[in-house]
Amino acid sequence: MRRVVAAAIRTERAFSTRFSASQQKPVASTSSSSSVPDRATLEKGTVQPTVLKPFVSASLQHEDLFNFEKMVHIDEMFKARLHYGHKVGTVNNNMKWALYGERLGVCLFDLDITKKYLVRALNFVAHVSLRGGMILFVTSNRDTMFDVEKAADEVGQYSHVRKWQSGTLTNTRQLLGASVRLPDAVCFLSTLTSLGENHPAIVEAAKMAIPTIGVVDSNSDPAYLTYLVPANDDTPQSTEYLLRMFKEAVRKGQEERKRQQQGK
Amino acid sequence: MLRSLLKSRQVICGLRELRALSTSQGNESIIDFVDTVTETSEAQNQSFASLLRNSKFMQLGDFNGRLVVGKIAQRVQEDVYIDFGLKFNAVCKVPALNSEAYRSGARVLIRLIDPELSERFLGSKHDLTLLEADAVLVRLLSNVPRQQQQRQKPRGATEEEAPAAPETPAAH
Repeated sequence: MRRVVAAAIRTERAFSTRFSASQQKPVASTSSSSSVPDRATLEKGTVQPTVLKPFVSASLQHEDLFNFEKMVHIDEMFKARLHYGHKVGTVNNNMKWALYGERLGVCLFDLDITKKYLVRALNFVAHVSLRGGMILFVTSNRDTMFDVEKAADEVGQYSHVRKWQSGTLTNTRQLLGASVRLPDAVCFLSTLTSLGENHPAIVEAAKMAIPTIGVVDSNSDPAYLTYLVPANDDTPQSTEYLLRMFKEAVRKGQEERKRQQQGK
Repeated sequence: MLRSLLKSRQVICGLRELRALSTSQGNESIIDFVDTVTETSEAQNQSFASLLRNSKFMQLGDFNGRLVVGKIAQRVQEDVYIDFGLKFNAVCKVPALNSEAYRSGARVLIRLIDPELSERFLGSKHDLTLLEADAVLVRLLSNVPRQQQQRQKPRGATEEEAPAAPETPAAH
């Protein structure tokens, strides 16, 4: 809960400083007199982030604003084989909280836990998309790289599925030139490379304070990821289902943004 | 001897159930064996525990040596990637005889050995996994015609007579 609110506050601050257009000015002028936390509240917020909740935007107060709880079904996840993990010998100790058990050496994810975390991640993606954020989809699974590229292109977002060049996020000026916009959120459809190591973009996104969503399998390491989705990331059917969910989240956020802009 | 007979009977029952379902639905598309069982469940709000309890994964029992029906997902040169409903695809060699029939979408009978090839090397903390399953290709169950999809009933009758006899065994 703390991490969610802290990430939401960080996202809200980043977007409010970034979008300083004329549309934001009247809102800022009205909110600056009443709903700006004072210094004591900010200092207390570093230890206990929940005290800053009254100052957060109204759309972020809702836990499930886009109603993904009714869109994600357990039987659809079961049919898409999200519950299969790796064998017991490859289990990461930090992923045991998401496992239902093991049968004949094969680990099984608890889809109730997976659904809870998937709904949370989908809401975050929708909120980022609602504020015009840019989402980067990253995978290193060769079987699903074309699906990820196509899914990101369909909703107007970006993807990176090839070999990750070191320093792409941390050394952008040297590699890509000046004035390159970094992604506002990175979504990892698989967190392990083909050699079984963690994707180097996870640490780079953490260094640049970019929130990350990671589909973590039973042999993955959930460290440095902001939002976790404990699920099967090796089967193409499972990745296809998750991509469909993320596409729907981005689309809902974009539609809500369009509606708000037309309303103003 | 008795176990193999019981296993072959289970396969026969599964195949008959498959054909009954497909003929009742009326479509000629090939229905995957595992997907058929999950799709027929009418309750939409089943919990994960009940879904798992009634799944084919639980009914499979021991993986070693079990006969399962799979669908060829991809073919690369002489290797076929067979999707049998679990996490990884099984990789088998295509037999030299009747090699043309093993195309993407064909249903095959395989003997499953290991759902995931992983082993712990000396001194390492975690197992190293190859991200594929180990199986032996037993027989071709249904063909995928190039021009049009038709059901060949005499061939089905032939298949029912000798289900356990390996016509073209291929181990990789």
